[in-house]
Amino acid sequence: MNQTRRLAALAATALVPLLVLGVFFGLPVAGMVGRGFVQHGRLDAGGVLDVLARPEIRRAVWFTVWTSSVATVLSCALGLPAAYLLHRVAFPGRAALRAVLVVPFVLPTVVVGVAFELLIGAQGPLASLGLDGTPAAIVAGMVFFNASVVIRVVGGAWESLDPRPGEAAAALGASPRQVLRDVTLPALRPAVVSAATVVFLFCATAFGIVLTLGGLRYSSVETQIYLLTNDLLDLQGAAALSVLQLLVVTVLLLAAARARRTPDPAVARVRVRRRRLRRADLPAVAVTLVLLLLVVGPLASLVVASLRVDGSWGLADYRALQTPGAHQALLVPVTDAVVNSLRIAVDATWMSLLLGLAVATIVTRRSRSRAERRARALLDGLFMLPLGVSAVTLGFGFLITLGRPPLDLRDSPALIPVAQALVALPLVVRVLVPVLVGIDDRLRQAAATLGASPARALLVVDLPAIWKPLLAAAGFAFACSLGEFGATSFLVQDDRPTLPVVIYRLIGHPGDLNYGMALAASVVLGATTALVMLVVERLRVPSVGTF
Amino acid sequence: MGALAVRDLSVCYDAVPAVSGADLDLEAGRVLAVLGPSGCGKSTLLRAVAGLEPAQGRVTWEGADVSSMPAHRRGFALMFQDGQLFPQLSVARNVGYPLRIRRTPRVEVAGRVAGLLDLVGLAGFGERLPSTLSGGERQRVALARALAASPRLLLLDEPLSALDAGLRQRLAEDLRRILVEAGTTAVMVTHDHEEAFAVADDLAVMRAGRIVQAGPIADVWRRPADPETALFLGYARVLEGPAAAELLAAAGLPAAPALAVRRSALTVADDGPLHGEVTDVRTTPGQLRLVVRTGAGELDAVAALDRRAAPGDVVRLRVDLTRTAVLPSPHRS
Repeated sequence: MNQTRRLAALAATALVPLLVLGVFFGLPVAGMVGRGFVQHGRLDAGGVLDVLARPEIRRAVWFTVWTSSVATVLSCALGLPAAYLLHRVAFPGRAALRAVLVVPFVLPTVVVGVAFELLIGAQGPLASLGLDGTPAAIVAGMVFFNASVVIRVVGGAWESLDPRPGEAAAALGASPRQVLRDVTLPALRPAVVSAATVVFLFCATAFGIVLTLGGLRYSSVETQIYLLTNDLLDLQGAAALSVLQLLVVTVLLLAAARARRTPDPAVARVRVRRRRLRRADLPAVAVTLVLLLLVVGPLASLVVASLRVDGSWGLADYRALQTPGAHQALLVPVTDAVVNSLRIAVDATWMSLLLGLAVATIVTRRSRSRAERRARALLDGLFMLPLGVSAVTLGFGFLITLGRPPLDLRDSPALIPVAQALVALPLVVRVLVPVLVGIDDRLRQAAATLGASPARALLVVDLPAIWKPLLAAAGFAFACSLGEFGATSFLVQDDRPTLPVVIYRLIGHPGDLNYGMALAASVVLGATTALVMLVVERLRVPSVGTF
Repeated sequence: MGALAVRDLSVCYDAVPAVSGADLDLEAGRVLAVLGPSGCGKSTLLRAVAGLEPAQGRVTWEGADVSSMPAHRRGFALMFQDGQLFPQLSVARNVGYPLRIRRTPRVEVAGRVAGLLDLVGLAGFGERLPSTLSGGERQRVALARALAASPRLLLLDEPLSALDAGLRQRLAEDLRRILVEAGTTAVMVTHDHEEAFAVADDLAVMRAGRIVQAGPIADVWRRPADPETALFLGYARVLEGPAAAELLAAAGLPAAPALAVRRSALTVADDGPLHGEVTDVRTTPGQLRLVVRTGAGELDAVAALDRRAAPGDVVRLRVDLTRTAVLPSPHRS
């Protein structure tokens, strides 16, 4: 009976987040998927299967699998040495280097797409390499984003890795290489597997980067969904792909959860002194420099190009941001879009924080029975789903299910923030969960037996531990929302655009001024998210990036 | 009628019983030690009394049922094995925490905190952070903090077992003094019988989730309920059958089915009634510790340091009855 009561209490606390997830995630995705399965008023599952046999769909699936695999391997190959260097070795400029290398994760895809175009496009300094519009450019873009994920996830684990087993192996005669192979890498395996899974997930659902760098010649599952829904109005095809994606993502999330189950590096941390730089670190230094070039190259060319006007230096492109662009490219000045973006990001941030805090609390409370433990694990997985569901599916689903009675939210100013909050939710939850898990439940109990009510105990035990991670999560959510493009592009109204949408429009319109404005706006957007991310870095929250 | 009464208390984890049908009684102002090996459920019992574990059965205080009361309303302060100090608060703010919860005026808090820190021997430590303290100092702060709550009942979960031996002994004596001075009613859980004897008035012995014996500490000590309890209470051996009979006969007592003997129950003495061959000798700072093969089998014995004894020597032994305990029949179950 006691157990039933506890399960009921769990259900009650989970009700609000579940309701939000149900209405703003379950309903749109189900609506979108259902639209594809039901043709002319009856269920047509066969038609959906036929879609998967179409050559262009099979090409998109294969393209997604191989580019994501290659990008995952490369992200690890570049990220692991950098993680080692940044977290185990002491050298001047380490903090700055780390900041530069981990910032790309939150940069808006649109910005990165523009930056890569500048570098390898027809007029770019690397045009001679012939990378423009090739799969290599897309993979490079994916690595640009995701090497930072590997650095975050594995670096955190590596930093607190107990050095004594390695020392024991060395004392038994193992060479540094053997120590790495036999002791260090096996100990880091959970973190590496977890990082690789998440990177693959991000690559496979990448939207903006494939759209801007791949154009129409190469299309992944995600861009194919966009193409099918937006241009061809082939909902059946889009639904089939969405379901496929959902299945793959679920499997990957389960695999990631399994990899995570080993003790979390953020909990029992060992303080390890960083070693001085040695000759043996040279390969790691070389790899890190390659990564640095990959990150700095495109961004530097973006900043430089935004400051070049008609062959000389100037701020004309930035001044033009006060206008709606040439040839009626936009309905409102770009500065309006900036204000609008900031306002939406603030709303999305508090929404995802409230939801994320509720979810993280529910998921981490100690279970007293197996049934309860299962229920909490299930909820944990459920709220991670937005991480992998196509933002396009979500955005379009919003449009078709929430745009008419009984839920007519189409003109509601809350629609975009809610969609963006859901996209940011898994990140917020992942930042908060390890911290809450790390709080010894007995500390709360100590407060209780001293006479503190549960609310007072929260104040003295949880709050001091969680405020910094909460700030970090807020920064994450804010940056994420500022750069969100996939879902927003469906929901945005032309007279109230967001900055990424404006940049995409400006690129699509002819005219030097429009292009220059796109560059300037990209710099503004990129600088803002980078700034937010640098503040998050300063908070030194160990769990940031534990997925 | 005691202050604390626990009746038929049971706690289960996933249908596995951790505590089964435990009864406890404690009078106001006394200290009860719950003694048992690790994993016997004693900490769970304590946590259930504190209201931190969902349990079946009844917990009453001065006749009033508190079973359904949440932990923070019971007025039972629990001191954890590792202190569980709030890491971000200074020592003084940790100790003052229960007072601030109760909206005590600031001036009064300062005075009480200073008094409590004085009581636990940490005057002047107020501004330090918990992370800068040694293990023993942390436990003292935890004790002061628990006392600051002016608990009706103080619950101590292995308060000293995380400390090293010398410190543990000193702190046990301090703990006894502090509890007596404050007139606190307390339940302490421990696996160390020395600690229980140093601190408590009453003793409850727990094994495999059940309380097997309870009573004033001297009574339990003198009459262990069974051989296992006797061994756990620090008796060195339990003799059964003929061995017990021989030893009892040597002491001039009627035969009994089982006898628990402490190491120091047998002393080397030239006029002793027992005799045997020394098989092992070890020197300790206070005495010689011998193993002697007698008619009653191998027995432990002690001798003064100035006695010469070597393996192979034949010695005579005297029995000190106050260091033995007659047990009820071991087969009664």
